[in-house]
Amino acid sequence: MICAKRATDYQRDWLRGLRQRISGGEAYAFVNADTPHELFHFMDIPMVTNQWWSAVISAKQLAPSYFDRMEELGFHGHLPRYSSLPLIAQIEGDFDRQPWGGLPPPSLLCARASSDEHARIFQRWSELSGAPLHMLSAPGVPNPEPRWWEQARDGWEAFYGTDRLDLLVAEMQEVIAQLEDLTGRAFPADGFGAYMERIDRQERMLDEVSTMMAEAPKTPMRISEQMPNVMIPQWHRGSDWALAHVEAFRDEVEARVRDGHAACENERIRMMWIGAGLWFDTSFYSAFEESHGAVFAWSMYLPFAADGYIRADHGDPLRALAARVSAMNEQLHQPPWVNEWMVEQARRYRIEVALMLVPEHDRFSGYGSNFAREALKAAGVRVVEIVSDMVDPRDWDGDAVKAQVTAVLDEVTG
Amino acid sequence: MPLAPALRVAFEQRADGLRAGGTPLVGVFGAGVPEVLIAAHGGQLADVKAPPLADAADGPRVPAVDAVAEYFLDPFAVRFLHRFAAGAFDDFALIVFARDDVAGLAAYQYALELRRQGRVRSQGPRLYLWNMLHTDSAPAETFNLTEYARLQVCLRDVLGGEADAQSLKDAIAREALRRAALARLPQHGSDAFMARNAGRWMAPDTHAALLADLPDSGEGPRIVLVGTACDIPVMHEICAGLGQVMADLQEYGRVPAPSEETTPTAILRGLSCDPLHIRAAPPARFTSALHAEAAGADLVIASVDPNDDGFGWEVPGLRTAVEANGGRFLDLGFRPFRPDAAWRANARRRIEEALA
Repeated sequence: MICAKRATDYQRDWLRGLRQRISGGEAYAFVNADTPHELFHFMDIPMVTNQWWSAVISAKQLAPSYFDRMEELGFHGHLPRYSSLPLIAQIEGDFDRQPWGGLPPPSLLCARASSDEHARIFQRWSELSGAPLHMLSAPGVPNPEPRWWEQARDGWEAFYGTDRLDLLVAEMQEVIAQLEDLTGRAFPADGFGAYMERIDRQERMLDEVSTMMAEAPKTPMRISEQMPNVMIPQWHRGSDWALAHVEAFRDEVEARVRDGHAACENERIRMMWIGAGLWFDTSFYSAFEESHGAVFAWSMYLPFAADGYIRADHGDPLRALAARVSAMNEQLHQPPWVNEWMVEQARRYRIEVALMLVPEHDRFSGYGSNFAREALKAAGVRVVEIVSDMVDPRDWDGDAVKAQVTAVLDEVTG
Repeated sequence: MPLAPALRVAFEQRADGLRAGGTPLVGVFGAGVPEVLIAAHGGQLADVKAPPLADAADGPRVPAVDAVAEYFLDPFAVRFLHRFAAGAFDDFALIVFARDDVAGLAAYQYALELRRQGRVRSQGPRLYLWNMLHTDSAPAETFNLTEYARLQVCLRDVLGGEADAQSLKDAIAREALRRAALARLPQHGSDAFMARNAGRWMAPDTHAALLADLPDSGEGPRIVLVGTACDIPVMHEICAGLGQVMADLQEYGRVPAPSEETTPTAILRGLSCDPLHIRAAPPARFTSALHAEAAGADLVIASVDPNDDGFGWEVPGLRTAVEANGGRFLDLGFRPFRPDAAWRANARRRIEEALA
């Protein structure tokens, strides 16, 4: 896709600029994926996301040595990996071989206590860097209504709970105060609503793309094309570039659908990839097109841009942001939310086979997998479970997994 | 004096030894639940996280749970779910799950979803998520009080009782009596471990009355136990004769502090500020408390559940801190949920080597 190249080019240039800013001594924040990035963007604080940095290190095929090192340091081998790879790289300090020459010490750390390891990993970051750590609380939703995507866009106050939202707003205000101290600038609250509105507009366009993807006779693009076109503008959400890019992306997909373009001309089976990306081997996503006409039509990043992000502001954009963040990760991993959403998405996208990444060491991401599997099977979707990791290839046997998938695809094609 | 038989029976049978009588049973899953406040509402509390000892041999195994429980789910959650699905808690009026417990949120969500999907019977206790945050920030304190108000509504609904000033005072007095008796027990030894924990399945005054002085058999090098939840005295048994356990910082190992709080607000604050809770925030609070408790030990022994996500991040730093203080540190690695004789023998050998 033309758009995908534009996105990766933009990101490359932007990262170069970010690296220069950071290397030049500018303060930056190191944050987890499920934190309110909007606050950092809006205050123009350079920001590196833990899980993204983890994926970059993994894509450079550096993860095995770091995870071996992690155990040599005395951390046991069953600890979560997706969120810890950057920490181990930082502890190791061999910056010469790391992407960008590694990260300098951050000035601010932010994570959510959505899983038990986040506080502990970020505490180690704080000790290592001396940076203050903001931990956002993550109380559970006591009575989770299953069809969260229907209620969360507009009726989020009742859905997530007033007490939980009050708490997160108060904790975000503490983060804002820290950002004001760091930058010497006041948080321009007046403009925040317009910024949030732009993000909503961006996510609504991605919602349109998701609908096109779901309804097109044949999948118009691979998920390897979806990912940069969704994830990179999500990184810059609300910026002029992000809106323009998503608009161009939407138009290109629309044209492809109109022209009958198919990512796989021989498409016979539509598949979904459940879980985070397989960052060390993204070529896997097209491995079954030629042999079986099996194409990945779905990954979470595109539909979640809509269901996970669109939040009506109801005159209080900071509270709407709290609604976006307060169960961001949980919706993807906890019953009943994960199983209900997977079935909804599988039906919408006409999925026949689901490949489910089960990261046994990143248990928070692995919980709910069996509920999702059972629900998908009950909905008529064949499920292939892949016990592996998003960033650690040490136990990955690509040939064995391909054989596992091939056996199921052979059944489908008869 | 030897361990009172009633304490041993309570410890072994756990929730299975309880039957609903006049007082409604309220199950508690995980640390950090304001038990005295629940008792003031008229509930009899019982831990439901730790399964009866016999469960290891003949505990129920329910296919509906096997279908949804991942193999890496916390073993306490797994055993709870099988027992829940088999009706072990049907006599209970309510089960309160601590969100901040390592296994609590998953146990709650899986139980709730099994029931919603009709995979388990719908009768049985009401399930409730207790969301208290382990920090004393102003937003957290406000949130915790709101959570307590929500809990009160549930307790009134389920138990029918109101916690007036007198019932609260009585519950606090009973708990104070128990804690005073617990404070007289030695930290060391499997009998003391069982005597302390038996109270999780007894009324506080009954428990206090049965707690007699136990001989402090510990001598030799001072040992501190750290790691993930361990509801059986396996580590105390292994250490017997090798040294004295001066502190067991694992869940089920810690001795409850004497209770001094007399108001719900103060009780909640006391619970939420527990620095040795792994979700204590800011997170440095837990690390500092862990290092402080381990200071002065001749040997610190760490062992964790194979599904541990959290404690393992503390081990290298704790080792460094202990060794800097002149102590020794032994990382036993993964501890099975119910360790067999071979694991025990190997652990004992390694402790002997560490102390040599």
